Amino acid sequence: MRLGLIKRLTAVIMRSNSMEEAASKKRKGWIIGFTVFVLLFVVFPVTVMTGIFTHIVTAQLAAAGHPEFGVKFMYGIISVFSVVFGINVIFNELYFEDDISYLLPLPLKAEELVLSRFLAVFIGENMMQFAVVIAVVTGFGTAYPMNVVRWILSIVLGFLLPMIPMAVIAILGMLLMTFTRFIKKKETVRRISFVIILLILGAGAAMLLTIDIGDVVGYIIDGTVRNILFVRVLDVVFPQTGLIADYMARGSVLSLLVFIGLCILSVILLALAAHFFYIESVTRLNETTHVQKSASAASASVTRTAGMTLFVKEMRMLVRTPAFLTNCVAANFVWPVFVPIFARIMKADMGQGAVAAYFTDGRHKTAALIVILAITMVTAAMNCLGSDAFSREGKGFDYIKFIPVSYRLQWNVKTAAAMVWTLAGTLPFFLFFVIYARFDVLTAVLTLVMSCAASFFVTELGMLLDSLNPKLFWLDALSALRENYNTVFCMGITIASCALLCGGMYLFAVPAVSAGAAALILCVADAVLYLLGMNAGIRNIKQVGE
Amino acid sequence: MIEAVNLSKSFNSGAAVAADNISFTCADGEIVGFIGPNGAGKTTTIKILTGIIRPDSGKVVINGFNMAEKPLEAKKIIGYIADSPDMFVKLTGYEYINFMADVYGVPGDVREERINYFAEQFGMEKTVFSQRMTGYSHGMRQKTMIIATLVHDPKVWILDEPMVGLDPQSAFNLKRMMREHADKGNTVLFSTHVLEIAEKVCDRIMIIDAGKLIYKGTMEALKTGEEGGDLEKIFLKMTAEEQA
Repeated sequence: MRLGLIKRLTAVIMRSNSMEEAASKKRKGWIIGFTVFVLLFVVFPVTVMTGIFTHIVTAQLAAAGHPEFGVKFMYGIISVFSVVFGINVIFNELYFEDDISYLLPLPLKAEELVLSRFLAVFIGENMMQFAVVIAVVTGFGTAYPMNVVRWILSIVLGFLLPMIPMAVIAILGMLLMTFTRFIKKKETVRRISFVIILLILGAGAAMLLTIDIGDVVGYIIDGTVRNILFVRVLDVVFPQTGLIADYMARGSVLSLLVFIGLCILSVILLALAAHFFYIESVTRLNETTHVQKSASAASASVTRTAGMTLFVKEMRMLVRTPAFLTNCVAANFVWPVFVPIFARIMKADMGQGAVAAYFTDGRHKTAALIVILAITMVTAAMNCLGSDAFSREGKGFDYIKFIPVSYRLQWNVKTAAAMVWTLAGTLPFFLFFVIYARFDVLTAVLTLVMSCAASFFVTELGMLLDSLNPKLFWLDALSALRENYNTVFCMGITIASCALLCGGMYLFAVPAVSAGAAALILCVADAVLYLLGMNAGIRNIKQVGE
Repeated sequence: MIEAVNLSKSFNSGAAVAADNISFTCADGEIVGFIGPNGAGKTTTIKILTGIIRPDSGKVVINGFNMAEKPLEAKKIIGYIADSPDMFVKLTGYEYINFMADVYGVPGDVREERINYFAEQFGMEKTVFSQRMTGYSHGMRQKTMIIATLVHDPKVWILDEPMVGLDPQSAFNLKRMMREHADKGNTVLFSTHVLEIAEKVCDRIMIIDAGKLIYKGTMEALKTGEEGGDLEKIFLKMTAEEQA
């Protein structure tokens, strides 16, 4: 195995996944500004909060003789995300990236190819979560004393944390592809990986349902928090988190060595799996299916207006491209799963009478409005329908410019397509909620207006950001979304705006006033963003490629 | 008619010049071939003509409509085939053709008739159009793109490497269609690397190198007095001189 070659190939793969630099100095300036904003107002606060949480939990449990729990729990959660990320991304990297067809003819060993791709993904994953790891280590270290060596090694171990789960996912992926010979179509594999992610999330949700919030406090007090099913499962599935935590809490050299050994072993196993299975499984996959001559002829005589046909095209591309379907469309419908979980954890009575009675209190109602606003905004940012609206076009972007349809209409169509999915994932639930909780008509209407305005705000913001420097050079659809900093900027600015609005809403004791004020502010912001989109946004689009 | 007047375009703050004060006219009734080495500026020029890229200076006029002032009117007249047939491959052939027909406002019965005509010209069974283009070969995608481009019967055809991926019969038919289209008083401009195609099909050719138009005129005029009329040698000599 040629390590130098792996290093070079990893660098090439990482470079090909990254975004192009903005063309003009002005745009570069904007992007630097957004980066600083996101770092200061989102990454930094989240990091600090994570550190504080770890610190508090560690301090509490250290008194009960379990200082390692806080770290172990946080690392367990990070590992869950690594698994989900691994299924979503490593599968894609190993099997669906179109550059595979260019790499396979090269005189590369399978293990060199796989390790390069794995390393590229691993580094990318770490770039996203390393700030959290630092926060966890800092939170722990400030609550429970560690010497300098342990501080440094704890950070190194945190960096290595995703390695084992991601390697295991990659190995399982190769085994799955090798031993399930019936899977020959990429689309089928993607569907399977999507179902697996849903199953993992479902299992996690089911386990969370078993948590009793009252008992958790007791568990923490008497140090038996590990008895919670969710925590037990995390311990079993991710034993390496216990090793890191053990080293951090007790300085166990054995745990340190075992963890490092496991990391090395996982990479060796990955290389072996690649050597024996990868080429066979990847060469069997075939995107091209034989065109069936017997298929029935469809009619070409259905006519639509230009706007409607663009809208239909947009919807078809979203639904038919698995990466967009899962990350942009399905993402809107995930959050409702967590509502009954939280209700269960909080031991809330979900009967209509009890819910309605609870929300007669102005503060409670305002809190509900804040949650509704937060869900709407975060969902709209998370689905990145706005912030990758132009990136999604990829190599086909030019059509926007040469078709005889005004830029304004095309912009509005993209907004509409994004809004449809965002509202479909939020508005029906909120409508049900305001009726179920027997909100007065005024508050209910203002709540729904606020939600719609918030969706529009995030969508327009995302499109405006994406118009500055869309990520158009990608080979596989998932790459349009990955490492696309427009989505990161959109999420960052959304979280900051949401925090400001929610903070403001909390000051009002009258819910209708809260919702009304938020709706008004958002509508004004929407109007400003829309005008910006119609002018600066369209100007940006015209300048793309120039 | 295509009129390009003093088109200039550079990238990287002027470091790379893709079009350097280019002017030409493609008259009604003629086929013009656009030839040049890789990176000469063919695709950039074509993108300027179709409104994809705006020139730093100069103007494009399509059948009297200035692209900068009346872009939608100008674009409605153009049928443009990009150099890569990989657009919207998740759609079926029919969905893509319908999409383009809707965008250009082609009535249902007219588009059906045109699809039938082009499908026959390219030897494609219409049932193929009911399937997603992900399953198409490169050539089938190219044919589908051509059909979608021509479904609104554009007066001006601007084709970037249209023959790539076509089988000999389809390439022959496309060349014939280009001739017929021009003979009806319309305009065809296409880029190609294949000098033989340009030689056989074009009324006039334009040679571009390093962003400069180094020749425009008829094939006969180009060959006159030049090394026995071998177009390949002439082309290589001209581009070498330009680079020197």
